[in-house]
Amino acid sequence: MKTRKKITNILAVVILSVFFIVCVYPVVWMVAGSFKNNSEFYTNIWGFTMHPQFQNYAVAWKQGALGEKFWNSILVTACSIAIMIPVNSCAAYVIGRMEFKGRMLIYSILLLGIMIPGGVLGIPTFQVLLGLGLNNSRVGLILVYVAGSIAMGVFIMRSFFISLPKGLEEAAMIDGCTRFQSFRKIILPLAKPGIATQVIFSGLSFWNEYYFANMLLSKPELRTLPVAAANFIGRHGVDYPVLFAALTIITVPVILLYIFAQRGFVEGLASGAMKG
Amino acid sequence: MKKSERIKDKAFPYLMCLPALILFIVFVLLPFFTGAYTSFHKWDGYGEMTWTGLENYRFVIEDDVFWLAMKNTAVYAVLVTIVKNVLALGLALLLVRKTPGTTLFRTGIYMPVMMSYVVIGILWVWIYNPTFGLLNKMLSALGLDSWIVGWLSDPKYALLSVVWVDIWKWTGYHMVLYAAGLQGIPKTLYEAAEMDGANIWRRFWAITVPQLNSTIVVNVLMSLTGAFVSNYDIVSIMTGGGPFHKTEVSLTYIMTTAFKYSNMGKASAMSMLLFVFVFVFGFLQLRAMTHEESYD
Amino acid sequence: MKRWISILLATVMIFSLAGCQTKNPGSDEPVKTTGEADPNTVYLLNSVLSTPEQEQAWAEVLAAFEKESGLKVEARYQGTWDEYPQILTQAKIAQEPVDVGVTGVGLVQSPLGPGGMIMDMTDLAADLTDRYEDGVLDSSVMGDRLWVLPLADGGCTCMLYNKDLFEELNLEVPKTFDEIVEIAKVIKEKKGITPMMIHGKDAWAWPMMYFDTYAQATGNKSVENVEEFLTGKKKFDGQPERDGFEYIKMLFDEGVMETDSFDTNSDGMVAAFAQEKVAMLFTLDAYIAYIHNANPELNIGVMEYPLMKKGVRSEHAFAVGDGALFIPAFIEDSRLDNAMRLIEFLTRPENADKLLNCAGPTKFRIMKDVEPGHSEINDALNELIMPNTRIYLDWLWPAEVNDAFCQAIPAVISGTLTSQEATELVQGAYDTVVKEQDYRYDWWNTFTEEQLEDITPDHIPDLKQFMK
Repeated sequence: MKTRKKITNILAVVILSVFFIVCVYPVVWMVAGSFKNNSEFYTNIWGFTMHPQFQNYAVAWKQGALGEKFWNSILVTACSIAIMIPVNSCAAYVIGRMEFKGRMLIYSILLLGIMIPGGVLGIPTFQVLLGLGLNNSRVGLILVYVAGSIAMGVFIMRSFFISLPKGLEEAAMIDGCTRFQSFRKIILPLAKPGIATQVIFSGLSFWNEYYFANMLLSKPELRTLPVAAANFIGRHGVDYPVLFAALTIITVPVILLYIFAQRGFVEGLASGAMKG
Repeated sequence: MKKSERIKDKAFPYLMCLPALILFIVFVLLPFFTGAYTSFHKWDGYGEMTWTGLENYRFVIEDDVFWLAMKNTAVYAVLVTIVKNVLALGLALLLVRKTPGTTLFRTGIYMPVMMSYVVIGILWVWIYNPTFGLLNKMLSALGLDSWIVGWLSDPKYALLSVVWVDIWKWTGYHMVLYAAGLQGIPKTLYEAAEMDGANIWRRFWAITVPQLNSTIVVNVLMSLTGAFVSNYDIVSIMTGGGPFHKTEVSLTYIMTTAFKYSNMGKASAMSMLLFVFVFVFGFLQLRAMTHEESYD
Repeated sequence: MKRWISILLATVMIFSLAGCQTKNPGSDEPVKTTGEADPNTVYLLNSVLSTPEQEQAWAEVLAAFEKESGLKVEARYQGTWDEYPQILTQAKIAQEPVDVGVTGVGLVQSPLGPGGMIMDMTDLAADLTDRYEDGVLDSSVMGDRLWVLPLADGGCTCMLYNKDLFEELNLEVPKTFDEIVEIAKVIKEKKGITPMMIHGKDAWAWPMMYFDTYAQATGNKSVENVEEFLTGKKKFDGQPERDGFEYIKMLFDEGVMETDSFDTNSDGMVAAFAQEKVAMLFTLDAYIAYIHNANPELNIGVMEYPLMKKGVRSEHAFAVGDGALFIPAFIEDSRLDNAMRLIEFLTRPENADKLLNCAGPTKFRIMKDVEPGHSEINDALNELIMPNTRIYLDWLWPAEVNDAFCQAIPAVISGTLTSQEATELVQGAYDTVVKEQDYRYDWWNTFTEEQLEDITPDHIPDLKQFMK
């Protein structure tokens, strides 16, 4: 019995290791590429360089004005997340845990968002923002991001709220809380894993979003990192090592953040049971 | 006093929904309806719109490439949904065994999720490259030269090669969700089943799957709708829809029609049709999988 | 509850901060979001410049203009070249002033020209056309009207070969189909590498090959034929049209090219050639620089597409216009003078020299008084290409037709389609554009009175006073 368990454990580690390599190698490859010179990038494709070109990072940083773009990306992503969480949680809470007229209608309307193909909505979105005087501003971009996250966010949050035992907030309300307070103090903390799921998923897509960021912000000083990275790509060719340096600068903070956050995130997920 | 409180109570759920509804209506539905309006016009995206009624829909329905793209999209969606979820759940089951290095594996397998499409595009196109690609090199080293094909150009394999990159990119994400869901299942359930003599398969179907139901619904819905409405980046960087439209999915064809052919009207009509399909698909899936999920 | 409110407050504050930045006209912004354009400022809209040298050159030249004219220039660089039409449209919808634009000439035929987005420059730039070499403006003239003034190096399709390898194997540069087949055999036998390659994973590369084969098949009447085809005077179904496809297929059938061309993109091609894993390329001259960067030691030679049929050497596809100056049709008349003044300044030899040569010396002589860079390969290119050129066909035909070629050529090669079916596919693509979008090749004849008024300048500024 014990040896069998040992064997399956070894097998598990082997399978996981294979996947691990397949998934981590690209990151290593990107970082390795960012230290190559142009010639090595094309002739020593899969290996490491013996002559690391640290100046690629300096060039990328300066040429892309990445310092400013970093701040923009952080601002846009953080604000979007800060607005997304309360907006989605409030809606998901009442849809999931309260009975009221039009509940299913509202839920269905919001769910439509999952099914709307993006892409061709670019120009109409731009016109809407223009009508509101929000073109060329971060506010407009942030609102577009938040709106885009609502469908999936409400869906996820609702499934968390539903899984919590009935009558939690009633008990709190007997203790003198208002409905909103009971939501805020009792229910929301229990739904932390749902929030974490949203933050990780939507936050990442905000951070990496190119299409709207490029279209809606024409001022260079407002642009975000993915737009800056795209600017490294010329019409017929690219200075790949510098581009990779820029992409490493963009990606590494997210990876680090995930490594730090994942412990809390996973524990949080585990504590809030996800059930139907 | 009492009355106003009652009104407040009544208004409460609506007030809570209001921000989400307003944002959603203004920034998603309004552009969407503008798109619907566009679909009844001839418009190049620059000049004047001309009303043409259902003309664009007729063009779309008569367009063989559109139907080919829809077929590819369906194949794509089914493949990625099944493989991503099976793979992710399998990996998650291995992860929760608490073998050494769990954290490392969980972090590592999540990496592709965080990588930019630009790198993914260059990397995978080069891995599949016939002259110096990693894949063919590995096959040669293993003595499997006969397996070498034009990964992205052979009509038989191109779509599969693209689908694999999509799976590779997103499996880590689903794996983390599954792992979290698995950790939430009370251990006592398994212990009780083991006492009853249930084997590992039996325990999986009788405990794990039902307990994971809501996680599975979220994951399946995400991968399914993702294949319909957000696989543009991966397909366009890998093949751009070629060879001979063999990897054309609805989104790449819509974007090509809109921006390369400057045919906004037809592109909008395609979007509307695609929306209807996803709506039916998504609705059926939710219906089929969430029958027991209800708060009441 | 308190924390809840404070989070919300903080968010609102950050928002209003961000909002202030955009609403406050007092702060020094490069672009105004409202329609009020400053009469003493010229607004320039360009795609993002991808090298620091380009940025430097533009900054210097614009500063010199400000100094000489006493006007201000607001330059805005947004998006990549192919996003330009969309960005220009947005500027128009948002009523942001744009006086001078810089775009690719290839975008004039579709969508900028037919969309009525750009002004007829025939009279406006009449005094400036003398500055260009003969033939350089050909690709900027459509329907006898000049729409843009190019400000970029020329580009051509060409064949490159590994000179060192040819010398090592004692090979002559092949001129005919039979010769290239022979040479391919030698290369394969001695080196075991692919003799010739095209970056066919970039679908747009395939039609470039057709430019040459079709020119050969029609006795260098390809442009005329395509014009007849696009105006509906002729169907795309003759023997020369089929031969255009067959001439490409022959190279594959005889082993000169192999299926690895299907899976190789431009980066992969550069890498393969730099690693000496392929001996000959069919490509754009623009990649020479990248190959040189990837392997500075490699000696690259230029050659012509081999002669497939006796007697008809093909003209070379050549065009100038990766960047070109134009005036948007929505400009206010009062702003024309300053806009043209800037264009005059930018096309002055000493300034054009800076802008053209900032990313390394140009290959081709574009303007009379701007000297191109000299190197062995540049001279070879000039000698081989320049005397005998013709415009890119994909600048003539609509994107739908081009895509039909992109799909059809590899399909013919791999035997999925016959050349007859391929021509039908192309004809079908053309019929579809006509049916679905009322496509007209001669879009300049389709403008309504109102549109015509928009694209025709009200007055012609006198540029002579500024010209030295």
